[in-house]
Amino acid sequence: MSPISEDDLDRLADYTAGVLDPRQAAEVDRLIAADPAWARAYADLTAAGPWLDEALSGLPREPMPADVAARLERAVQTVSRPGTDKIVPFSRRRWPRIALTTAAAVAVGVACVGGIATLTRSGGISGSSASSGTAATNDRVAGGSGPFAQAPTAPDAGTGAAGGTVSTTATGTDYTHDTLARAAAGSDKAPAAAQAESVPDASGGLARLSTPSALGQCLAAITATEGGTAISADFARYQGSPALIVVLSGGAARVVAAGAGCGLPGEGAALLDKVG
Amino acid sequence: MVRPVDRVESGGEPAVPDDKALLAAHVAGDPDAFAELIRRHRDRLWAVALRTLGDREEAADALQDAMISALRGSDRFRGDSAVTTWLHRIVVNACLDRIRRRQARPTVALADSAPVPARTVDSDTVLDVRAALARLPEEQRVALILVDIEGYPVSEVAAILRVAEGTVKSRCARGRARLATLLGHLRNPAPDRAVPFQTGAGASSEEAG
Repeated sequence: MSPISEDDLDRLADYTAGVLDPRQAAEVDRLIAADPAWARAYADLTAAGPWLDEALSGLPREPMPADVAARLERAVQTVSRPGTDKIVPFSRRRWPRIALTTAAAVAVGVACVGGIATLTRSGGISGSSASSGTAATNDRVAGGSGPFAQAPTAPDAGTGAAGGTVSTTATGTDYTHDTLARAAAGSDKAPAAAQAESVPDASGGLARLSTPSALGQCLAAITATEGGTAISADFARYQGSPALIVVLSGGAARVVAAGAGCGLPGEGAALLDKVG
Repeated sequence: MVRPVDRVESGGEPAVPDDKALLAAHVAGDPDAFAELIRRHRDRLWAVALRTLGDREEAADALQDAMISALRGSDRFRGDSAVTTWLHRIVVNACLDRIRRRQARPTVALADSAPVPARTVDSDTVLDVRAALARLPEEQRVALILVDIEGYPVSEVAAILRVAEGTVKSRCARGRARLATLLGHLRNPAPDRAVPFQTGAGASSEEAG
């Protein structure tokens, strides 16, 4: 017994949907009664219905990721408020991997002399930023004032996290284990400088951490795991994923890469990598 | 099945503007109104774009293009449909434009594809269903996504796609039949066309409304 044709499957589907006119429907009735291939196809299609309902309605929900929401907001604000950043299509925001690696290596090498971050040890998390060419990016990281921004949830989380001021940068650098290791070996300062010729969307996927409270919770989770004190944080990437690169003083690790879920309940430090 | 909540429910906070009020505020010059409108519906718009295109970056680009287009063309919204219907229409069209632009790729004939063994709904099945959805003709895929996955009423999907309700029903039914075949619940039909599987949504009977 051969299966029915594709055209006939369409006709059978229309029949089950009730969109055939009476004459066409009567013809399908006749085929189902007289042709074993039609009868089987109809029986199979009818039997598959509940399974299809369950499979389709059971697909996971797809909430918009935070980085997409943040970029969309910026694009809308760019048009709504003339004078802000130029809109850049998402696909053109990808940094070539080679450029990222090179930029990261250069950045690590010059971090000590670049003067990108002044570390202080008093007060809470300052949110101070790199001074060389990342103003717009850092404004976004530190601002969080738009309608998509999330409200702080734990106002005192920051001070407990590091016990001192944490310098933040938002270089968008894409780190690897090797560049983390070089950062750990090289300095107790921020691991990367904004020396790249162009700075990608550093806050992509990390918008939640741009609030002091969320950042404080993340740093607290890191220091709870690794010990020591956080002294700098870079909104960047690790092997392509949004990551907060944190330099520690006196901890089991010197530099850690924490994922976007860092500090969330159940996520802990969401460590992607660490070097000691 | 997820039932979308299209408008602000009455009886809640009286200060919450509905979608049309937000759009009107945007047209009147409120620089935050459109962002609020998008924030309100972004998850549903994103789900439609992502499921239709099957690629995160493309979906993000399509959604951004669509929202900028909507923002710039908002003064042309006539109010004869819900704002969400209008937004979804723009997103769907942006997605279909992208699909059609990339359709230099050869299509996969249904009869040449080995069906996936039938299973109960689990994580593997989710992957299978997503893969099978990606192989449907785009018009059937969009209709299925909107009706069977996102839970929009057929009448609203007909308004979004600007087709008859019967056409939406036909596209969904044909898409479901193909999904059943791809997922191993039906025998592969015998190919009987020079261009298989990609032209099924165009038959005259589906335009019956």
